[in-house]
Amino acid sequence: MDLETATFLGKLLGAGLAMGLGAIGPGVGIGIATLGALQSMSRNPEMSGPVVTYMFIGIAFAEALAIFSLVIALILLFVI
Amino acid sequence: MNKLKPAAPYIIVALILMGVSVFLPVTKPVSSIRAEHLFNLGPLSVTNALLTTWIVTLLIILLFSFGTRKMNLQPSGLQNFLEFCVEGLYNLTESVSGPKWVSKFFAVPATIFIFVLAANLFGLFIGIPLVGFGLCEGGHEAAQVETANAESQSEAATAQANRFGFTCELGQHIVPFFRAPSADLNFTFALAVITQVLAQVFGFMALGVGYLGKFFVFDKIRSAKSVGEFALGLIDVFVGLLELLSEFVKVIAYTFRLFGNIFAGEVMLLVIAFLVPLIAVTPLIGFEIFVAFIQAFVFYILSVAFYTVAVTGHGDHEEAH
Repeated sequence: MDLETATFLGKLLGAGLAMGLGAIGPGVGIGIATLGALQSMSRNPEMSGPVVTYMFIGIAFAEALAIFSLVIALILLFVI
Repeated sequence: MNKLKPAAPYIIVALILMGVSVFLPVTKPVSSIRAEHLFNLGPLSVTNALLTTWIVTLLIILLFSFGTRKMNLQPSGLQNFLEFCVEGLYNLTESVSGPKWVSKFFAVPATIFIFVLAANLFGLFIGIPLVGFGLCEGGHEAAQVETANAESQSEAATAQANRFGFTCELGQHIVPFFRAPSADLNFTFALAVITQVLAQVFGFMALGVGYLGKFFVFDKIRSAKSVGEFALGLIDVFVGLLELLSEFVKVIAYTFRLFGNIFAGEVMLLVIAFLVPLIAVTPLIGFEIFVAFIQAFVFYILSVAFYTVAVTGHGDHEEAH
């Protein structure tokens, strides 16, 4: 295997691994955030408005990590 | 036959869509991570994202100037709608920041919210995967891919020739006129820098020079009398420096959150439209509309929340109540 093929292979592998592994944590995090929000909403339905707002903020934070790994994957694929 | 009756509209729609997908084949996606150059305006290189940004700005200006042209004390029609939106945003800002700072915090984040929302929706509405007209360019990508696999590139070029009857010569690819502005790093980075610089300005406005005391915490280490206290003070210094670092990381986080979400959505729509034309992409466009709104909202609410954090000092916790 020459260097060019190896680089190409490494790019593909790296991009796939970055996205796949990077999605594990945020997935768990979003699940936990939604779990907490749903529990609190079912206990106190009157508070569901603000709870949904804060839930989305929390989800956005967790999701940002997945997006970072996505950006790294895209950089690996398209830029480098 | 009677059982089929409720399903009939869906079947008809599916058939129409399938027919459409036969006549309007979506070509192999060519996605570029940077906005593509369209033309020169003097020394300024106008990219497709910049062009879309101008159009969106113009649309927002037109909408608001039409809405507020004949101002009534009792609003109706468009003016009513605009007042409803702005008032809702104002109340939301107030619920996060408290009544004292709301008039200062409101302007820039709300403007960014409206702008980003309009930009995202415009980028989606114009239908990047579906509207395939633009300039033809023999861009850098073609040359790059040629070394890797020349065959698939020429295949893509021939496939692109028959989209909406818009033709490109072999080896060239279509550069679309429109691109969601948020799918350009320059756009999101500019917004992030504006928001984050403004946070520092608010911090200095509220706390004066004492705002720097958030990042350079030396008072404990100076008054330390024992080794244990000195170690605790050292931790405080370190935490303060981390806080300083996080101010810069926030810019990156803002930038890539918006860029990543919108760009990923666009690439997903392109790829899905290429795999299963039109049918599979329709619900995903609905999801992308949701994402467009949520990302604009998150940008807005995070900036307001960070401003609120910036103006609250060390000691005054009572201000939060």
